[in-house]
Amino acid sequence: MGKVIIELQDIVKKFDGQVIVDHLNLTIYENEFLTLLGPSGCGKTTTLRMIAGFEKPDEGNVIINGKIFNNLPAYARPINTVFQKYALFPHLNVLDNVAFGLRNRSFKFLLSFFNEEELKKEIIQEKEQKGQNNKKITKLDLHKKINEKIIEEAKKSIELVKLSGFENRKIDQMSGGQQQRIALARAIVNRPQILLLDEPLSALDLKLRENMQYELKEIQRKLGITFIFVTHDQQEAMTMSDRIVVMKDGTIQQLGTPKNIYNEPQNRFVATFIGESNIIRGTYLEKNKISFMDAIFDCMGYTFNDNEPVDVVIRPEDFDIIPKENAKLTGTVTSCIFRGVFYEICADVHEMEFVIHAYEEIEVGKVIGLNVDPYEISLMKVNENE
Amino acid sequence: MNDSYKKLAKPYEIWLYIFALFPALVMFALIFLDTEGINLSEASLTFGNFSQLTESSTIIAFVNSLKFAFLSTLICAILGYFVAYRLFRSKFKNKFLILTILILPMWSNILLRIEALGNVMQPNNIITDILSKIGIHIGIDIKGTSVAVLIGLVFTYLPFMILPIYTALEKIDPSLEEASLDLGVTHLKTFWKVIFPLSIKGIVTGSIMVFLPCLSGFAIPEILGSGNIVLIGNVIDQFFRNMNYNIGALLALLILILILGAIFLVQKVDKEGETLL
Amino acid sequence: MAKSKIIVLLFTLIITITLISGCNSSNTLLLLNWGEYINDEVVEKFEDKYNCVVNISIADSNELFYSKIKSGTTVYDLVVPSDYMVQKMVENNLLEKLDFSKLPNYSQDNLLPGVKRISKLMNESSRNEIDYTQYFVPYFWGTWGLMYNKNKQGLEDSLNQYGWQAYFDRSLLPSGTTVGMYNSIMHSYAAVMCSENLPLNEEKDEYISLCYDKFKAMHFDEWGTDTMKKSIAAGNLDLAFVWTGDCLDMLYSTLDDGTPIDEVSFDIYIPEKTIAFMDNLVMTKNARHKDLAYQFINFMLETENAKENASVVGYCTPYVSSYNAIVGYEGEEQWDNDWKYAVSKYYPYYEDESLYKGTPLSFFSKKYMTDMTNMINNVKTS
Repeated sequence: MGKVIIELQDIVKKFDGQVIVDHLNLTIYENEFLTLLGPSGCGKTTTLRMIAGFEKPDEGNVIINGKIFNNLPAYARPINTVFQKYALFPHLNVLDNVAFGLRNRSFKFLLSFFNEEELKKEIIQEKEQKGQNNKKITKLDLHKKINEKIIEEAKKSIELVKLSGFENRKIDQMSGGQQQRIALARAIVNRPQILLLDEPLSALDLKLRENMQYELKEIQRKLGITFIFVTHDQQEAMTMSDRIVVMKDGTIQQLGTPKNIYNEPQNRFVATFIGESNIIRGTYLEKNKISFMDAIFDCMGYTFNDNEPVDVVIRPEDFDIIPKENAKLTGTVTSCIFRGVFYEICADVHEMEFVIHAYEEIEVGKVIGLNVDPYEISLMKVNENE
Repeated sequence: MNDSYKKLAKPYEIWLYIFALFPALVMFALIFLDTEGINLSEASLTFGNFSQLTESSTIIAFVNSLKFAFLSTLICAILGYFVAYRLFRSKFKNKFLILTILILPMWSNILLRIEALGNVMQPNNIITDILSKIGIHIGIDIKGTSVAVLIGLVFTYLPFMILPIYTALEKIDPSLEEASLDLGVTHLKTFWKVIFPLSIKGIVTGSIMVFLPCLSGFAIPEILGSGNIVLIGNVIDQFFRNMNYNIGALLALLILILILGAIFLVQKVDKEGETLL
Repeated sequence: MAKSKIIVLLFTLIITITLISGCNSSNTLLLLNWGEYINDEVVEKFEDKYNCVVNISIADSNELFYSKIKSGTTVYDLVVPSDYMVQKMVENNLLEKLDFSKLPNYSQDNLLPGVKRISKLMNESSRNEIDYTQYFVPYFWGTWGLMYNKNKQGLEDSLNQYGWQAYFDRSLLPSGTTVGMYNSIMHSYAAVMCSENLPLNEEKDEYISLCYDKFKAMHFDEWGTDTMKKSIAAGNLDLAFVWTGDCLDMLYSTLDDGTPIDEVSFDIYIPEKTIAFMDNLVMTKNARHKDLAYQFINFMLETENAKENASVVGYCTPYVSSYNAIVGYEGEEQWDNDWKYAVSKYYPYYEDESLYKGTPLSFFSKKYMTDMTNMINNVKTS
């Protein structure tokens, strides 16, 4: 998996007595695109802010690169954030916004950022070109060079987000999507190890959002930075992430790759939050045999106890519609709505409403048969609390 | 804007014409005339009034006014920003209440306040009386000095500076500060590079609201300066009192032009018209 | 639409009521007076007796009186201008010549010699040989003097020894004496003229230069108006040129507070040559209620009414009968005794006119006033 870059140990955060983050434990690896996914109020933004340094955990440790960062202020962390509402400085133009972070750093920091030796070499080269004999490098020379470098870097960043040519524009002259990209450029110009993104695409329209999703993924791959992304949109999470952390009420419901989470939800919440699911209570009879709705189906890859009650999860698109005579499950169609790519069919099966995705229209009222392949049946442990 | 709202503004427009524009025109006419009081019936044309502008007392009074106005504005700006910023950063539940308390002195009559202030600036007053009864003998004697006038001006007009600065600070999007910190900029630098520049409009508004009354006022210098400090407002007052409306109007219009010039400058700098809100 | 109609109707109603209540013109007397210059109880007595309303408007300067009468926006019946302003109004044809047959209570013999003297001086200073006495009835009169802080060591002695010279020469005053001048162009100019025994009504450039030199040399600690009397009483100021009435005001309030008369910390020195003033009742030419006006003047001339009136104003009544009533008081009332003491001391009675101190001011041309204003400003700003 790579090197561990962030470790959240048993983090607790309360606001006004209410527990927002509840004993959270999470390990994040270098260069991964990790998404914190969950409904409003699940604590994902708070967790992000604790990593950024805007909130301090009440209990637990935030460990970055092996060091405990709990009390380190935000400006001292090698982390940058892209805010939900962009937070661009209205009194500066695009270039000044992007260069802001570097421009306001200490001289010492910038010397190491741009590699002092490199700078000095370049200065001497330039002096030789100009025919100047004085090989002494003054502080003024270094300052000048650094300023040049800062502008260079800022322009590179702006180019990366495809906004070259807009350097001198005022912020309020830019569209939402453009502002988003400026915010991104402003953050990455600082070469942070970790980039935090707090629902950055939520204010954009669908097409733009989808474009940005691809662009973000591209940039992350190119730069090799760890991206920690927060969203409530599961489509977004699935598109971009290497791993997803599904959160609810301040705790992690499931952690895994998008495929993993989609195909093998571990509890009811994840199953219903990600994609659509049909969840039925059943009994795991014996190895690879699951019984529900008065029928026995084959399944694979699970180890439960014999006769253990389990929750069966079947995705709408995993159902095959077959003639009712051959089917183990039958149901009556109650609605059939065209969704663009597929038809969303609701059917009454054994007094439970199933949602099925099919490519053909089925008449309302018709009785249909349903089949599902063994590897498309997911089983979840029954949780008493649900 | 709604048409019906425009109609509602008509009476005020007429009011302005009658009570603001027309008197200004009369004043402008008076400059070129020699009249008995305001009575235009026996007027005679003259440019003699302009010789007042070369009088050394007029010029000195004008320069003094500018000095006091600039100084008061500067002091108010620094103190006012400090107070507004502290209030802005504070964790009070009801900041508006605190703001109201700061503004409260303005609800009382200004002359009473200045008289009271002048009284305290003399060696024998009610406070020294009370203190002497418990054995403390202190008293200050600064009434009649420039310092006294300056204190009076700052004391009176400070609330005018605090309010706009506070409003400007509150308008700043709090996430901007977080963004700056996030980019590695320390709190101090964040203040100077983000917060201060975005609050400048408030400082400008406040400065205008302090500068203009300080420039043209006459009550405070007269009372706290014990009559020895002459600002342009005092000169205008004297001429009006002695029924010399011609010279009075000339000097008054001069101040008016200065004020309009200042407002015009601000409009130029701030095209969206946010500053004077 | 209906809502705005109601609003307009209500508005009109309010305006109408306000206007109507302001009317009732037939039995109203319009008087233009100084502030705190009349006894409201006496006015009420008049209103009851003659079944009318007396409308008193206030203005605080002679120039303002002139402006209002001249403009005629409100037609006042009676005004109370000072000596020099009476002169100016008469010369500008604003005043009605009085028919003294309508004032049975008026008698030349009932006027104090000092009052008659001032009237004579007014006529003497006339540039057009006008007899101003045909136009006014004296109302109050008084002098100006040098009010001083008795607690300042040596100050009283200096004043008694040097008089005016001490006021304009710091070397003749105890060290550290704080001195104030009245912040009025005409009165401060007159102070210099009086101290140098020069005429008060001549316009000469050299007089203005003289004033400049004297003011500059003296460098007054304060240029104030009625603040100075309070400062002296409080001990914050040592010496100032003020109305005699100012000193009496402070005296009355200090005695009211219970301070015994010999512990009063201030007094006033009235120099030989000083300013005397007289405020007078005059009738405007265009007055609409002349009969009522005559009745009012007559009423105020009654001994008892004049005395009552004088009890709330710190200046001297001009009528012999009222004056005698005040200084001839024999009784136990503390207030009346204090009043008797003050009036006898500061407005003494002389049978011989020439023993009275003080000269009234005259009015100056606009140019001279401007020059004086600039001179004083030059003193203050340099």
